[in-house]
Amino acid sequence: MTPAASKLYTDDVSLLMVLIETNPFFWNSINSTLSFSKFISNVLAFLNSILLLNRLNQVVVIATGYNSCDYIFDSSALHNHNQKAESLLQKLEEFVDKDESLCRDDSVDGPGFSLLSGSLSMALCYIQKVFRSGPLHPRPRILCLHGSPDGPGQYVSIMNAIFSAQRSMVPIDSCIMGAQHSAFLQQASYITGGVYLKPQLLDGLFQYLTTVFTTDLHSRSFLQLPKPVGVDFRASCFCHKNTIDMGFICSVCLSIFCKHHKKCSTCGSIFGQAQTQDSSTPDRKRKTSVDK
Amino acid sequence: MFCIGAAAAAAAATLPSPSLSFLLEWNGSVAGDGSWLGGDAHLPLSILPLVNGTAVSFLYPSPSLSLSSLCEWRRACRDDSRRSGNRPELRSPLQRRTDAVASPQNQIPIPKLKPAGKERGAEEGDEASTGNTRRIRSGAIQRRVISLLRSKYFTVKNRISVSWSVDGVEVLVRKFGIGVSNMLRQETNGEERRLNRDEEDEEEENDRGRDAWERTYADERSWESLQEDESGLLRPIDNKTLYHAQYRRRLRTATSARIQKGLIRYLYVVIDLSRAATEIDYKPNRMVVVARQVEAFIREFFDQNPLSQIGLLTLKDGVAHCLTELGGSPESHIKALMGKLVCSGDASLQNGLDLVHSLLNQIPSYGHREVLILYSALSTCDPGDIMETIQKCKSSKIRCSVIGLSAELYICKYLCQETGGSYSVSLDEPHLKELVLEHAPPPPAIAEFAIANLIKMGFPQRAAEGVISICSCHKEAKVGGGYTCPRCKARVCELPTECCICGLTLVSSPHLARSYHHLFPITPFDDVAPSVSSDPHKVPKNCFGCQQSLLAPGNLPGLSVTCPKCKQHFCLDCDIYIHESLHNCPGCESFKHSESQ
Repeated sequence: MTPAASKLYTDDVSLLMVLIETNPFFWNSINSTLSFSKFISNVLAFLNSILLLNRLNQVVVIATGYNSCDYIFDSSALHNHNQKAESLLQKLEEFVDKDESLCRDDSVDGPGFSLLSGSLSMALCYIQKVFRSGPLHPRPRILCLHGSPDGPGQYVSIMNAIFSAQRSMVPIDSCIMGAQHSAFLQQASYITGGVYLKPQLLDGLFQYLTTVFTTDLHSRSFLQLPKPVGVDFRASCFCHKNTIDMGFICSVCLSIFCKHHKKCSTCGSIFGQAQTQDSSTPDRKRKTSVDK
Repeated sequence: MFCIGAAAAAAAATLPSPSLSFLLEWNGSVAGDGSWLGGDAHLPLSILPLVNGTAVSFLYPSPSLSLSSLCEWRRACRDDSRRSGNRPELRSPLQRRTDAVASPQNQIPIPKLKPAGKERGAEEGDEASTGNTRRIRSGAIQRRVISLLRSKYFTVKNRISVSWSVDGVEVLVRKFGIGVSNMLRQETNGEERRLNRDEEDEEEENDRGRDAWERTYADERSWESLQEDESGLLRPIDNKTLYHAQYRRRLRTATSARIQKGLIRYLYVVIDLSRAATEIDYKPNRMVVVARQVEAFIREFFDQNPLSQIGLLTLKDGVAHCLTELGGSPESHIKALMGKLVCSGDASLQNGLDLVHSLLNQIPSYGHREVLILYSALSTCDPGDIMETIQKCKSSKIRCSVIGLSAELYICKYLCQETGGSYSVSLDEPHLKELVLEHAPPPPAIAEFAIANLIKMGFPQRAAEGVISICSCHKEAKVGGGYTCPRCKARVCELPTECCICGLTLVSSPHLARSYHHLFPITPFDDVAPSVSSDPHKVPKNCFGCQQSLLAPGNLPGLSVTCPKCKQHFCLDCDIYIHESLHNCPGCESFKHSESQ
């Protein structure tokens, strides 16, 4: 790169990965005045303001659907120079149609769970590609515009993604549009050093986005952003799904129980005695034998 | 077998003979049997004085030359020079040469070397007069020689220059010190010595010790990063595919089956701070390099094993000291380690193992007991029978692993075999880093060692921001931001820790979640066969994870891998990132009705 380019890469160049929730069951069940189309127009104005702040800012949009996730928009792709909004909307429409066609569930109660872990993983892979591209790169961050409740089946994958983001020093910001707080995203923002926000008036979403989530990482040290309140790190027990203060952990598989059991239900280990070779386990785990 | 002092002896033969004696004195004592004791050589070397650059060995029936015959030869040269009256011509005691005398204006040539037994006649005279050296320099031969030297533990402290003849019959290795070359240069003013590579001449002219370009040759061995292709041209080694292939092999062996791992580990790191740690083969010295790697290891260890604990031990002066007790906070260990780094004395493996054994006896039965020894010394200075200590460790189920920095030792290998650990010897600093970090992920659990137990743990809540309380770890008042033990309501500053008051282990759910990827590993990806990858319909254009193009430059099919469950294609870098850091397959996570959901 020429020396001139290095002068352009100042501290405040950012790469923003936006994960948009397109789960149709959620958008149907939301009981506020924010419809999906209004939401998209707010988000488009927000993305334009990000791109206006600095010539080198990049924005990548990934859609989190009910059945699949995909890349919708990449501002650094060459063919997108003139018609950013049109290409984004077009690809979004294609994605929503494809997502709907993949749907195999006949009826869904409530908002259902969207695939946040998938879009987080894709965003992190993209960020790793940016890191590999050389010493001059924008500082990446992830913004989740999420609304569906947390899917318990995704706990392990989301935690893996969070720890990987923490190691790469990528903050995960979250803006919750649903009715209830999301414990997963609260933990994500706390662990990675991002901002968690649940706006009170969704009509003014654009104002929340521009005041809280627009600033780059370098400038955040000068601003007073919403602080995390009451992040609940308590675990839930595997037997009753209650949140507990004190519990018992299986030393083999780290499953959490609220009271003393004789046998671990996850890995089948019998507590208090050494394992034998022929103890059957549902996970088909086996230990190595001592004589190698 | 190597010859010493090629140019010196050759030059000495043309010079007044006192310079030959200087050579012997500077280069240390020479044993009567011809073995080389001085300098840094660990090999028996033979001294083969060169006559005008020719190895006399070809003329001698036996390869080595004793000191007495050397002196005799020197005397003979001196007598010759006195008799002839001009500059001493080079004559060997066995064969008189009648060819041209090397005059000061001539360059000292390296004539052709013939195999033993052949006569050297007049053609050498031509050689001598033209000074045509006709040497072959081939990177391959050079590399082989240097690797041969390294493999025999030859410590290269001074320059090693290699020159060889047209016939490639023998390689003459010269070990030259600065003092000698300077002295000889002064005595043979104006005489060019084209005995070795051109760099050497420039170097002698510069009168410098080691310039940067020399260090590239001597220390960094820059030729090793080159490879010859089929036409003999040199190209740099392509690291990316090699690295990926290495990584795939490692991954395949590691995750071939769902093996249970020891997740709650109590590990002692034993650092050897004996005299051997002051060696400078790792820059700046071994002790600093080891400390650096241990610091990185401690951070990585707590990242991957948040419920485990580490303690540090040092081996110094034949005694083992406990530097830090078993604890879960990385900062305290690193601070203690960087505080005192002083080396002295011998390393005692038995004392270290005894101390570890007594310390690890106190831990609960569900924990996995491990020791990682970073051993630089080549010996161990033990008070008793180390075999007994090893058996004691084995019966206490302690898994000992050793990483050697100098060479492989039998006792370390035996220790690791008996206790089920791993033994490796590092070649250089990046290799050491790789070996040390291999011990960070949990090792496979050994069947009889792991007694499953239910451990009582507490999940404290984070206190509100404005609350003032006295924290139990630092014994001072702090405002907000701590955690409250659910059993005794004492405040602790950070997690995971053990409550000082009631002894309850306090963790948060993300700490447990950090280890879940060991319990639910993802399957390794499969390579895409070249026949499939060249078909444009079967392989998508972009990697599913990062949208990078999967085509090599020029629209050729590039390398990609595919997940066996969701059948998505990924690039090689995503493959490495997904399996080493992320532990989620983006394809499987992004499709609701894939097999894994």
